[in-house]
Amino acid sequence: MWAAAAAAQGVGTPLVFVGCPILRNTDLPCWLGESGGELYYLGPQGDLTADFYPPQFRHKMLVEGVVSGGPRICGGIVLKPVRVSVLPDLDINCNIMLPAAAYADPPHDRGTGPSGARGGTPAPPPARTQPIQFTAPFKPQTFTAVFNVDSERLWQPAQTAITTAARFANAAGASRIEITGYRAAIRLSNGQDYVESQAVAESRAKAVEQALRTIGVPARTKITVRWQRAAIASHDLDQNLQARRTSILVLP
Amino acid sequence: MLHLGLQAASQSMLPSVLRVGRHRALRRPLGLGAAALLTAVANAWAQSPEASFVRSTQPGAIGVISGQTPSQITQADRAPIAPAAIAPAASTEGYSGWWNPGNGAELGASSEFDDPAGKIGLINATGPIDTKGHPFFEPIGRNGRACVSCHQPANAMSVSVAAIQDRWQATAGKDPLFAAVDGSNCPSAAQDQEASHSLLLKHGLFRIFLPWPPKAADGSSIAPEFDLEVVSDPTGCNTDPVYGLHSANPQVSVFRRPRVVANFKYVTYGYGAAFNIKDGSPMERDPESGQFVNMNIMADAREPTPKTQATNAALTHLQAATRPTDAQLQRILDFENHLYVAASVSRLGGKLTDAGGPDGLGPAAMLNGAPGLGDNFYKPVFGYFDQWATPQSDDAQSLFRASVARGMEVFFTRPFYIRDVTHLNTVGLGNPIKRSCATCHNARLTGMDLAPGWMDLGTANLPWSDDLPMTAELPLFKLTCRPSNRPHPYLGRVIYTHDPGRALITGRCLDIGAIIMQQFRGLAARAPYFSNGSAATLRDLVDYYDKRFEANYTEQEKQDLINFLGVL
Repeated sequence: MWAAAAAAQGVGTPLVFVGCPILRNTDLPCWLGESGGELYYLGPQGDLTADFYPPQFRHKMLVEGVVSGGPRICGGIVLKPVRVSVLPDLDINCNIMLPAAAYADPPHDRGTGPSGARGGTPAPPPARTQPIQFTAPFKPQTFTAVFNVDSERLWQPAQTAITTAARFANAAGASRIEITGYRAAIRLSNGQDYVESQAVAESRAKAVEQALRTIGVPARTKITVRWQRAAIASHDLDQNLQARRTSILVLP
Repeated sequence: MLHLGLQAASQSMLPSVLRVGRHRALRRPLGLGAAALLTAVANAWAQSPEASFVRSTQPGAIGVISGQTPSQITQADRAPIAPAAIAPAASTEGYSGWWNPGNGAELGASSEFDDPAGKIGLINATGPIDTKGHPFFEPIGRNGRACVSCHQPANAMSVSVAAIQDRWQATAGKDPLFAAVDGSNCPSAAQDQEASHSLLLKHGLFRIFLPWPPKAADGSSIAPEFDLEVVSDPTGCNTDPVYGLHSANPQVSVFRRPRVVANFKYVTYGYGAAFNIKDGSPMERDPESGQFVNMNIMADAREPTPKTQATNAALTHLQAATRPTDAQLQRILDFENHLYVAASVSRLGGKLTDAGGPDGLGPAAMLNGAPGLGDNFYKPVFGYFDQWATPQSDDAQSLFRASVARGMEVFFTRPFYIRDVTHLNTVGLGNPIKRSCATCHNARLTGMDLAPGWMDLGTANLPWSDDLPMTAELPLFKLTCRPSNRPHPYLGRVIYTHDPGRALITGRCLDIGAIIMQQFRGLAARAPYFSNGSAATLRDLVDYYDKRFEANYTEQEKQDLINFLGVL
């Protein structure tokens, strides 16, 4: 059945679905998801330096990916790029581990033990990107912090946006910062909408405010925090991310 | 429609960043009216027009005083102080190696003390310490205790339950160690009864009393995400009319082991990151220097720095009438920051620092080593043990050393599924993750977590704590996450716990039962283990992990792990 469904999916097709994560118990585990009777490969177990952050048992996930060509991995059609959001409510049924069977380990950078290899040479640290230097004259500038679905957790992209906004505010001696939180109504591939909780726009805005205050902005800066009650309807992958954002408008 | 929240506020409403010497009010000795003074000072700061990056409305400290300290002082002031405890004996009689407060002895530049598995070694990087008049060793409070009371050199700078029991016998329970404030099950209990000190005598647990709801740095209350009820209260302290949850000064009592006060360059090591890699929240700052701290000290990171910790400990555990002076605090920190501890001799493995042996053993390794991430093959957590891997003969020492080397490999590389651990499986690694002990215990030479190290291992929360029979002697709380907040990621909205851990500081459901892991050095000298003393032996500890994570260790693997842990 899965093979037949796979044939119906064209390479490059966006796929957005909600479901339980599935773990294939290969030596190095791989993560899968199921939609419309088809099995999709999401990524390998990795570490925090990887692009792919795996889902979690006991929670459903919302998967946003693009059907990729190439051979299946761990029995699943490869989604790449792929973004996985862990949904907040518990679901004890999300506890699905498949046997390794005859499947090989997925491609991976790190095994189940410590990183690197004995006798090897540590990889050089990633080149540090120089932060943008803000210089006068200053004009109002908006920074955008993006979030996973139904979450106000500040992952690296949001942290970078907040840090950059704080740097700009300090360089410009900002008089005001306007923080506005949003939430999304995400169109799934099955035609239904996943609507983020009403509270999450507010939570996102407040999380950004707290982080900005901790990092530090000028004493004179007045911060206002707003959130939009109505969910922003979104029908494609790029829009999805922008719809679940918090904007940080810094006014010199 | 845009909704304008109630959060619009000027930065000028926040307190100014605190610099040493700037705010004289806090540099005064802290008297018995400290709570009122601190509240007034915090309120004054809240009106300061200066720039700020201290989150006064979040957990933390202002100056050297953390948000919870004033209410803790109020409770400590209520606890009786036994007359007999004021004048401790000036000898070291009784338990071998027991260090009495104020005994005036010298602590050498290098020392060794017997422990059940061999010897524990200490190195003072600054040379011998004359403890006469030294605030770490003198009873600077009102109950006869000093810092050294609970951080004994012979016990790897913690205190073992064996030593505690010996002190009870040697002093008929009069040692200041058993002070009513936290060396008994509750200050209201009959202090001359052994049963009133049962958690300390049986499991090495001291009472930690924390305000409920939690306090922010400025002393204001943090709105918790959950309701807290007492389900059972074997010690009676959580339901006590004076000391309990419904008293005039509401406090939650939990019971925890003292931590090792040594090897601090590792314990306080951090990247200076602005965001917590575990949950994305902003990190706390040192309230004096303004630098980000690593949030990895104590069981719950409630104190941002060793300096605020020492201040709080003097005012609560030692029941000091005034806060330590700046000079005293500096001497305490100088001592702590230059003290290194590790096992030095193994009864079965011989001298651990023999030339050509593993380079991660002994206190000199701690002195000479550097902190960092050890969950890699380049600089393993405790180094390699190849030198011992192949027995040179079939004598007991060689065989034991080979077992230790295998134990290191089990610790470092043996995979099992780690699941349902908040602040590990929730950080982006996935749940479950197939990894080894070193995934969490990843910090060089200590085996702590290099990141803010609080995790819910399950030793405090049901159902996993049910595998630790002694937890029946601890209070049990029912925590119900409010509908407006997210549930605990793996336990849902209703959680039963013996110690809410970090959640008593943040009020967050995410943090329920999360406790900072401890360093591995000197384990043999300071049983029992885990924050709640629930593992009496290293075997108990290994068995817990084996069951909790279905690791299916063989008997040989278990013994190898125990032998490895015992020589650290």
